[in-house]
Amino acid sequence: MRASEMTGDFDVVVIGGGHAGCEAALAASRLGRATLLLTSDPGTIARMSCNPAIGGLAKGQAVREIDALGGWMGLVADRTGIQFKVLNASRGPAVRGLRCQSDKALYSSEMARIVGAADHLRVAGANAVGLVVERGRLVGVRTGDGSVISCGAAVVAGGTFLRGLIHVGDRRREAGRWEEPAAQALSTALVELGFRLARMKTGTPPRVASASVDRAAMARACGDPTPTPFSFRSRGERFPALRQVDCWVTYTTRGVHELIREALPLSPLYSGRIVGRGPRYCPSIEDKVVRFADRERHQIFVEPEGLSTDWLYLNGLSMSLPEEKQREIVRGIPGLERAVILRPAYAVEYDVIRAEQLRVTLESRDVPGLFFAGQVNGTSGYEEAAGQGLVAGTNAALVAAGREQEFVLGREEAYLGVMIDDLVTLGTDEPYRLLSSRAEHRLLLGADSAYARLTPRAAAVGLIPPREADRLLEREARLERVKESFRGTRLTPGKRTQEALEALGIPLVEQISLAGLVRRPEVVVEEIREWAAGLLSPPEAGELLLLDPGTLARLRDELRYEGVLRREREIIDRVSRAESKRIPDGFAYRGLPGLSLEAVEKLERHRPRTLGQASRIPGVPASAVTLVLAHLVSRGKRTAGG
Amino acid sequence: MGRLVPDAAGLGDVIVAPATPPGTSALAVVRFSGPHGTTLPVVRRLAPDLPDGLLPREARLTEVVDARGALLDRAILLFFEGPRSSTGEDVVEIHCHGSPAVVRAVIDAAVAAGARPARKGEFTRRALGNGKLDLVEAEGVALLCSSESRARAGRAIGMASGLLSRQVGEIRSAVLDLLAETEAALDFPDDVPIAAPERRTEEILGLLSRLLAGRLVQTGERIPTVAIVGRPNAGKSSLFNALLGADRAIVTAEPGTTRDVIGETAEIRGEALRLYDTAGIRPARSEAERLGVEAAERAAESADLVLEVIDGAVDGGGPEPEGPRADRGSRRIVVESKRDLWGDRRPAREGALAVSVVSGDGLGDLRDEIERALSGVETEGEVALLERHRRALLETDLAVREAAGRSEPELAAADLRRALTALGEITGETATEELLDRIFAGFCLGK
Repeated sequence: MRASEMTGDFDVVVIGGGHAGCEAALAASRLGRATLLLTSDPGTIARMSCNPAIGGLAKGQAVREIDALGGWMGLVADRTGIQFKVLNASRGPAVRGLRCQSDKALYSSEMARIVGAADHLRVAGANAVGLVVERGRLVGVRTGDGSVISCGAAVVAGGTFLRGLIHVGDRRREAGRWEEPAAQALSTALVELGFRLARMKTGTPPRVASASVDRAAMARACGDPTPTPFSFRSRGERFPALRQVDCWVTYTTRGVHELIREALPLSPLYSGRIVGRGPRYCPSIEDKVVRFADRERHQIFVEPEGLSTDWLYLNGLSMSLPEEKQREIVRGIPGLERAVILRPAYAVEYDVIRAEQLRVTLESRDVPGLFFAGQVNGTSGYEEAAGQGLVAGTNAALVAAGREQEFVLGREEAYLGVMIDDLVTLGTDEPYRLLSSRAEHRLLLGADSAYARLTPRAAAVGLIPPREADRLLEREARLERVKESFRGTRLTPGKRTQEALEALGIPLVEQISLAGLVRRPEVVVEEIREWAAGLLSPPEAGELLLLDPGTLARLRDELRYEGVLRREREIIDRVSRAESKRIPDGFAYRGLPGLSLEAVEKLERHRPRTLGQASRIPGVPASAVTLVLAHLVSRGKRTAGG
Repeated sequence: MGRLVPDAAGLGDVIVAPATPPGTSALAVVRFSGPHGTTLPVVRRLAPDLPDGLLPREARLTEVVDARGALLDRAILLFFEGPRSSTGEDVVEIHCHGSPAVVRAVIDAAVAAGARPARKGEFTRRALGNGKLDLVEAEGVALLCSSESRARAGRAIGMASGLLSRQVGEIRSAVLDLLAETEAALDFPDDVPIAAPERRTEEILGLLSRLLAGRLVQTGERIPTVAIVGRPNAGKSSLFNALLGADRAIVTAEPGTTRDVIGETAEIRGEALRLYDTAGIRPARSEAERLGVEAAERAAESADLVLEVIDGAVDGGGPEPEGPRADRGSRRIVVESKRDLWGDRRPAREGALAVSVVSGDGLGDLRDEIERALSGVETEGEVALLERHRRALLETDLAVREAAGRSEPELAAADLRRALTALGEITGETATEELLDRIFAGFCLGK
């Protein structure tokens, strides 16, 4: 369908068909809004432009959250994953991160299939070149052929395409991905609407031909023997669906570092040709060699891009040196001596919107109805993009439906909430990636608790059908009941108990609850399950025996961490009662005695939604926040007192 | 129900108030504060002969007039340009003659010229809002203003000048470093080894213990009490007068002169204390004396320090006081009086301090002893702590120790964040309801 053939209006138009755009469009259509996904090329939907992987530390939690909120990334990753691995598996549940290698082509086609099959959702191949704003509100999107699609809300999810500029050595071309044209006009349209933009840079490593690589010189990196799925919906499906494969590990050498150092003047990063700011946590190999000069070697993961492709991804080797230098460098690495480069590494510079101009719903503060999601907001990563897409798409649908309701996730509620709060409160000067350290209440945000945390929220707004939510939450409730029965069952060190436990290799000298026993490090919950069931009432025992392996592991984790989690919640209670205090829209900072003009200006520009947000705005002193808090509380007291 | 919108006059107006206490004095200071560029135009209406290019921090002698141009006073005027001022705004001080009438006239003239009388705590509030003070410093200012003694003022200035805030900042920064190492190893397990945190932990605990050694004070602190007790005519009242530096108690050679408890505030080695002279303890010979003796016993019982005076002029210091030893548990210094009468012999009682209020011998030593007994352990550069500071520091200490004992880095990280939250509560960076209560109690905010 061409844009010019479209006659009817849409509720929501999503610009861009990447990971943010797909989740945005799927969320908006799930809320029953007539949704249009505009992409310059419908054949490129849900492309994995960089690494062939989904998840990781903190990112894996984000994927679970997307899943718990009715998003699709987790299910598609499960269906197209070719290696699953829990990172930090030896650590506590809060910091484990699920990650998978994906078959890139299958990931894209599966997501495209889901988008194509969704109710209320249509896909059109057209370029968005302008935004139509009337009386300060967004009312339509203008496409390249001059037609205007009218809509109640639009989500800009342009990824790296806004004035995208690709660098390989001193060669440059305007493109958003390797051979896909950049979007020039949309940037101009945003500037004309008064948006402040910034320039960012990211990079991707070379791809090499699998047949040209010597695996004997590299170490094998296997997935977990029992793969863990991202999505609860994978329970009903064959998982893993695809053949599982290995990755390989090799290292750079001093010789390679020398080559890189010599070639630095040819790198646009160092010659000053790239002005955009790159990510510190995902540095190019040029950066690593310069900044960590004393490191003897850097790790390179060699990852397949799919089951039916010859392409390998050299994770850790992103750079922007000229192609011939790249060949020398790649071939200096053990196992890659005869590697054939199929696509050189490149850097891409692109426009981003300064996210401080957005509200926590990802709607523009100044142009109601216009939303932004994904890399265009200054983030990097598929998972970050998808999470924003889901939140933006949901809110866009609510706005288009004329509903007052807003869909906002708190910092203590979700990694996605942490990310969006960081973006709109602090802004970001480099591509933003989710890190577990960004979440101050990380212990509460483990991947396992995503459904308990978020599914009720999703059901309340209509992202998940009530029946599906009930089923999911019933599983959570069953776990709670088993936990409660473990807490309530006391063991006395009598003869029979002691004998039974000794047979399991557990000494018992004191009275202890079943929960207390499970908290002991030497106790393996899987091994005591049958015995423990014998101590419970028949219905309780039945529930215990019904727990699937993953939930049984959660029983152990949650009982073990109960104490720290309780304390974490107490802190949230203590601090957050003040933190989460809502600042009313249009609050008159200017009339507040004692507040400095500078603080007033900052607060008026950011319009923080809560006191916690106000306290995180750079340049607003703690004392100013105290004054606002004092005022809010005294006002509350007066109001309450009548 | 109260107004829902704060008064629009809150920002942008020039406030004025006397900065010195009411009453007659050599000088009185009237202070103005207003946003940049607003204070001087108001002040010029009071001081029309001020030059155009008034330099900040330059003292100028000027005439102060009222709205009709009548001369009120010749005064020194000081201008502090914001943000380099006490409130962070443009501040002007008029140092006028310390008559209540002059001060009142200057304030009236200021109000006629467009200034508004400041509400209670408003200067401090503006300083807070402009980030010139943090919460601790504001608390210090309040404490400083209510300090009754030099030593206490000295400790309050540690709070008011930001010394405590700086030390808390130092601890905070050390905790942040430790947290950063812990977090980095969690987020980048391939690149960052788990740090060995022992050295940093010790550094933090060291900083904390130094701060925790600080003295606990309260606004409206109960000053320490010292009761002088002893047998009749042992020389209690003379000692009382000597320590007070004034003849407050009536001294006679007749035993039983002091019938009631007399209390006065004295300053010893810079420390304010409440000194009580009491009736001599002996079997009472009258109803009045019996009541006096009971009062003496009560005073001794509740005193932080008891000075027991024994009569050096009587052989062996005389018998031990009769009656109940009501002062059990209190710290006690034994003073053997009237040294001028008994010369160089050794004190009759082991450990007694020989003192003569006539020659002044031994009074210096006694003052030192009193100071030591009341202060406990002295530390160099000590800073006063309010109870809420101490609690937050103890919470920090506990959290850092717990972090050090964790085998799971994510739990250690949570402990360290808890420590940061607690430290933030001291300076107001972490807003909690408890903090609010404190602020409402101390600064009359938002009322």
